[in-house]
Amino acid sequence: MSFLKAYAHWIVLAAAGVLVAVQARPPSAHEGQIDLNEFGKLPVQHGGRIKPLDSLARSSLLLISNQQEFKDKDGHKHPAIKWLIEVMCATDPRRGPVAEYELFRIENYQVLNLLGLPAKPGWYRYSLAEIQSGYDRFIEALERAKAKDDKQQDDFDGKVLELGRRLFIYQELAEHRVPQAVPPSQPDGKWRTLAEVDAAIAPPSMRRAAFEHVLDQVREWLKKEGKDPDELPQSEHALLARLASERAEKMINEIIESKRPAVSPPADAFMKVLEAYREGKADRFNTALNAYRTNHLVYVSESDVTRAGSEAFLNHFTPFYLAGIMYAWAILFGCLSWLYWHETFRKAAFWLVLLGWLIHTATLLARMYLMDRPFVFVTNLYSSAVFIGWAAVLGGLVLELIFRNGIGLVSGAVTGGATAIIAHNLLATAGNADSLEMLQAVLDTNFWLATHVSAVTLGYAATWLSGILGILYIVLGLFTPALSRKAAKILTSMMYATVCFATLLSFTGTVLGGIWADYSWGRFWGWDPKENGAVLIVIWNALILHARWGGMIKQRGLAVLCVAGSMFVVWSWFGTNQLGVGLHAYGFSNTLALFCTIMWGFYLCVIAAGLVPLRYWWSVREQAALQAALAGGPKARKLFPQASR
Amino acid sequence: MPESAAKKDVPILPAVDSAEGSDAGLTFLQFMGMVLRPIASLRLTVVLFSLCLILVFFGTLAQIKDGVWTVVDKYFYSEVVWIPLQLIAEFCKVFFRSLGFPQDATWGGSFPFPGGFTLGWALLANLVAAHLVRFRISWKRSGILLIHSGVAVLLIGEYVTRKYAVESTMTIAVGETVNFVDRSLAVELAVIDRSDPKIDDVVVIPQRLLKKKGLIQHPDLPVDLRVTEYHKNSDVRPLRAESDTVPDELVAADGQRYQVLARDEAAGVDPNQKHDAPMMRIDALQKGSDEVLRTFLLTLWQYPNFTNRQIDLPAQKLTVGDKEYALELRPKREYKPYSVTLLKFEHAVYPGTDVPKDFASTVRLEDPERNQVRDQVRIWMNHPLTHRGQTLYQSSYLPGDVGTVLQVVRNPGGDLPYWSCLMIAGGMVLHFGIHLIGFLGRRAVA
Repeated sequence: MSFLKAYAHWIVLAAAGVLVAVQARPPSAHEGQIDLNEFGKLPVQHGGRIKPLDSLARSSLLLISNQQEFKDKDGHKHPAIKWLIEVMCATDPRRGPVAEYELFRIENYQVLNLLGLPAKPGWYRYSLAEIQSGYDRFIEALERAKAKDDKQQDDFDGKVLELGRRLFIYQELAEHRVPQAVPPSQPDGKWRTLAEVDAAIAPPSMRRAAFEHVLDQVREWLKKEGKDPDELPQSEHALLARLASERAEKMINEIIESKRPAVSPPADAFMKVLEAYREGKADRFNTALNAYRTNHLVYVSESDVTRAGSEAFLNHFTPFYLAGIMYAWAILFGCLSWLYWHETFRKAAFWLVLLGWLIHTATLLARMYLMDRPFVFVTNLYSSAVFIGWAAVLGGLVLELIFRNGIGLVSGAVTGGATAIIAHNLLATAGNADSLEMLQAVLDTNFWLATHVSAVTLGYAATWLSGILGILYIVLGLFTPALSRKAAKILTSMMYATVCFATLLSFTGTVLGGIWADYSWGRFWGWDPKENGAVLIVIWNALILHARWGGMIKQRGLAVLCVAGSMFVVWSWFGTNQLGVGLHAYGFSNTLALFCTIMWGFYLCVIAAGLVPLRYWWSVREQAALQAALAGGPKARKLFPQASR
Repeated sequence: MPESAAKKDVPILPAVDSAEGSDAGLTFLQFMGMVLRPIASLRLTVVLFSLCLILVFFGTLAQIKDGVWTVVDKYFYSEVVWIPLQLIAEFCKVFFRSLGFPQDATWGGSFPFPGGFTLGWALLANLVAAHLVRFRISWKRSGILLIHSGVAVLLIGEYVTRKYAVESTMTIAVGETVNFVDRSLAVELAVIDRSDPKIDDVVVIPQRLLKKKGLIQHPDLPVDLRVTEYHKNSDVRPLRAESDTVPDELVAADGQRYQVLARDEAAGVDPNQKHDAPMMRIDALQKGSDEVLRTFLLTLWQYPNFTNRQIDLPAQKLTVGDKEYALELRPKREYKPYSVTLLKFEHAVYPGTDVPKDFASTVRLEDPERNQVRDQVRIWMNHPLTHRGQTLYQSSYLPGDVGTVLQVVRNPGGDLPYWSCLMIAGGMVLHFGIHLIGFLGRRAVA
């Protein structure tokens, strides 16, 4: 036992290290297997930037099904890139095996009714084949919803439009209209989509001519058979047209296939890769892929190719998920440390948090490298969540190094874990699910992104961290006997210090934002909702400090106000965005608004608990009892032995 | 920690000691102390902060329905604001939607609340009084003093900006030279006589008179005018079907007919927010009589520089005798001693998308008074041009990239926020730094 007590934290660290190492090992195909991982690294242009196919696959799947993996019919999980290549290879994307995957997320009962589909509670994902039966009704509803003004659309319209967008993403991929996968074939050339290359070879006029040609042939044949083509019944007319169009399509495809190698060698090489996959020939696939990589990416800058590869690796490494696991275990060990084996569990938690934070840091740096924006941490809502988590964990680690009681670890890890979950959900509900998306023109300045946005976000992080400390104070004090006088005093110092930092950072950040605004459009302050949100946080923190200096609040009051501060963070961070989001961003605004409501409800409950009269607090009664039995020094369980040092 | 620090402060003004001072009467300082002490109270600070929070919160919510400048005027640059209860309903509509809050809820009534000016001045008074009564100048308090002075400068800066800053736009098509700006927030009615090929004869009626409605008479006007309707915002809708007819339709240069509809003011938080396009209906009367010559429907949509405009609506014409006048509802115009020529406009997008990457205008600025020419100046995102204390920013562009819209700003209080934030940030670092070092020092000793 004593051995375990002395070395348990090293064992934990070693286990965590092994997990990281396993996850970091690049997946490699065995000899003679299709190497989808290499395929995923191929650079393509999409959303205004060069990214690996793997990222496109993940973001598309995320938008369609809210997951980055998919299950086949037997319930086996597969990576997104496998789905992407199958969609791109599909000869008929509306039928065939790829239409059988249950991917399209539909949870609205009205939409399910419209499509005539049964509800699948807890899963809610449907295959294209399932949707097919009610497809015509759906398209009618979609047209109706699109025709309406934004403000007149109701819930149902919103959900119909959402499914419409999901189907559209799929359709664009299947028809090769996305991404721009054909690299330039001369210096400074443009990327093109495979569909554009095909259209250049066979323009619509050629397709029409082919169709008419086939139709004429059929009419000739009919006449020879002694039938008048104009006297055919309506149903046979339609059949005739369909057959003619299929035949014409085939002709056109043959022309395209034959001309493509000359018109666009890169497109041809790319199609060869897809063809090899379609036929399931691993050797040919890998050779074709290799040929494409070496021969056809010559006019793509080397750094773009390397970046795409690194991004694909980062996708696979899932660093935030890993860090989240570290934080989750750290929370467990941190809490355990307050019950048994204080030092051992605290050290275990410390190393886990540190390891998680290092992964977190490395990923932030990697993202800077991928975006080519040094010192820019935050470029969108997703990265703000990641950065808030990172900063809060750092704050927690600093508090831990000062106070050595596990509190900094647990509160930092809670924020780190929570923001990892929030970030994931933000990504899934964002318009393009691309965490490295390009920036709006006015935001395209590294200096202000690095200063203003980082400072404001750090202010949010510090305010939130103080809220978590407040929650700890209230929960430990009210529901456990663990909050000794000394512990309470330390926790108060921690809250106070965090609020001071929060005030400094949120104020500096807000003012830097004002200067940026002044600099770019001549107005220091515009009273817009986001600015107002930031100023609310500044005023709230200033209020806490003044109330404390004036002696209006003591420890418990400080804790309650800190918790309330988190409510302001939720308001500024997400709440203000909801006001303007029209009905066109349905799923997004509804889930985020609900998230805000739930968070506020939770904080209000904690605040209510914090307002319970002190005489009912377990820790207060414990302390009183202790005082009563002071002389003999009965052994009270101490929460923070370190604190007595 | 801070509480004890506050107690140690020796006040500049002596406390009122009733035992000593009862007979001799109050000295001036004692009297001042008595008056200032309640004003200087930290409790008051906290109360004022809370009121500010509530004001800012409702001032944000109000932007769901009203335009940002209306809200700013009503809430932040005012003494008292009546806050409608409907705002709370609007909040619930967004955030309690999933809990089944009715989406058509209307809550009548409103309550009075101190506006931004009241709270700003009160905070300033509280701050100054606190320093007079409570604080002594010492190294330990230097941070606080710096922070508070910075806050004072910030409040004053915002006041100066409000009072004296002017924002306007300058719309220039490529190759054109322009020497006037459109004031963004006000409109005017111009009656233009273009019969002289060299000089236009223009009579301008300010927004104030138009908004008041009623009769407008002036010797320089060829007719009397009577405003019968005035709306803050309007929209134009194309009339597609032949059978669709409305009393006063407008016909664009391409023959498309349009209907003009009165609209609510654009909301402050609307992500697609455009400028408001006021509209009005006006009777032209025979001078000095009640005889209506013609009725006009005028809207900002007819103004060529209105940036929302994608439609070419010709100006309304009025013929009096043998002269023809153009009636133009346009943003308040201000002439500048300099002119700007747009040489080139660039609108870059991210490759393979429509997402704008950058906008840039290359201009030549000529200032004949100062005999100054600045040629080939590139104005782009985050890179404005400053001339005569006025700053020209890249703001928007004309449809089809045929021209640019520059924002022209003059703000005499523009430097104050910079000083303020330097003071506050420096003060905070100083104050928290002193305490942190002290705190860590004590821990190390203990």
